[in-house]
Amino acid sequence: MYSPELIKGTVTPLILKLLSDNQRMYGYQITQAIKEATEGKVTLTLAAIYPVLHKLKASGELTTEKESVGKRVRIYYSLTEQGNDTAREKLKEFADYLSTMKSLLDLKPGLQKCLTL
Amino acid sequence: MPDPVASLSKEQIKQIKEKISEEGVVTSALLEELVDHFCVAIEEDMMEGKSFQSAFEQAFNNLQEDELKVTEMKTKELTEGKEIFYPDLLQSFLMVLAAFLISWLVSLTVQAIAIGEENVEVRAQWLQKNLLWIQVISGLLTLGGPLAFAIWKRKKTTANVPVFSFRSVPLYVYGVTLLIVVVSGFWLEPLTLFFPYFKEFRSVYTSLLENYSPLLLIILTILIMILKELLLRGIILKGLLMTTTPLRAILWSSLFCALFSYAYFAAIFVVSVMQGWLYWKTRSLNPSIFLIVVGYVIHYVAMLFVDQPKDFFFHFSWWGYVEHNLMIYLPLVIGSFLLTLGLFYYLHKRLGVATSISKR
Repeated sequence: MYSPELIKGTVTPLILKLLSDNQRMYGYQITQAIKEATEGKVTLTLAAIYPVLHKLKASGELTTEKESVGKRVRIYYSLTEQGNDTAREKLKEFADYLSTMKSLLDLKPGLQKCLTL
Repeated sequence: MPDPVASLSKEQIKQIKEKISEEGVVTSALLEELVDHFCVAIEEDMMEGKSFQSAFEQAFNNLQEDELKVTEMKTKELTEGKEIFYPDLLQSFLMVLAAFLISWLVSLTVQAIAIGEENVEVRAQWLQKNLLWIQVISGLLTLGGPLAFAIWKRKKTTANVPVFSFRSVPLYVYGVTLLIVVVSGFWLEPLTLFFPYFKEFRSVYTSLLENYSPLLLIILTILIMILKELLLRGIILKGLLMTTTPLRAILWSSLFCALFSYAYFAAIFVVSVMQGWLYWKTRSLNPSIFLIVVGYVIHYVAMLFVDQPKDFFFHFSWWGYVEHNLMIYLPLVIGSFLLTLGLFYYLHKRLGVATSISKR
């Protein structure tokens, strides 16, 4: 399992990616989808996911639909048109970041030596 | 991932809700959401054979220290100052009510000015002379007041988002919308029988048509229509879509739209439902404005230039045009209605694919 510090910056892109692939999802479903896709290596706490979902809704990236499930209410999230644009930007930025990190970690020994000087 | 079967009783859900509240969650939207979160987790455990009490205890024991309190605090912290004004049903209703009050005040003011003139004929002449400007100022104040309030509320937020969505939509949407406007003209006509124009309004519009240039009237009417769209679709429907289901949002905003009109309540309600659907599907005001403006221009041109027998209808009427022949009129109405449904189905199919970014 990865540390919360490492996961922190990835929550927003992960949520946007899932919603762009699945049209609409509810909170628990998002946490489980991430857990299953990462074979349990990334587990989101309530404090990691719900504040981000509310922030994305408040800033107009997500919209919600309420549905009755049994005797309670379920809130489904989906991307707004603005959210679609943000998702594209964030995912591109995230992929670029990952590739930069990879190249940084894959540096040849000579270059690594230069960096340490 | 299949959803577990919702099986918790009302009492069990109440127990979960109380526990979450006790742990420090007070924001109602978050509380509602967390209740569902815990319910699903508990139901999953129950499906594996655990009792409710054991699943309940495990779900809360699995939490980190003060996790629920931290969730509440973080949610408040992250949304602070970023909460965009999306009016819910009550706020939408209050905005419409404010619009009516403004309209009523304008009407009272105009009457007070007119009553100042004792001579009835002079009073009537004054009203007729200033009719257009009274209508325009009344329209601007009625719609502009709540609109300005909503824009001000949205601008106050720290999130950098545009107030109105004029997102570009594919050209075919306009083509199909144009067809919908033309085709729906046939079947919308019988709906105008409900709440038709009162005699007083007929005389107002006849007087306007006689005294002012048609082009000026068209431009001013379009301006008022756009303002109406900005308020009803751009602010109210968008807000309702954020706070309730799409069906309810479209129906409520359409009801408000119909209430704004003095006549043709049923027809305007149905047109508004079509506009609401277009806004919901495209998330852009462009098709909705296009539909109403093109519809109005076609209607106006037909009223001015197509000869037809004078009958019940004040405006251009297909019923009048086909000389009250039911054998022609009825198939026209039914056929056009079915064709309109077909056109919406076509848009639904094409737009359904276009809105998913993963498929772009």
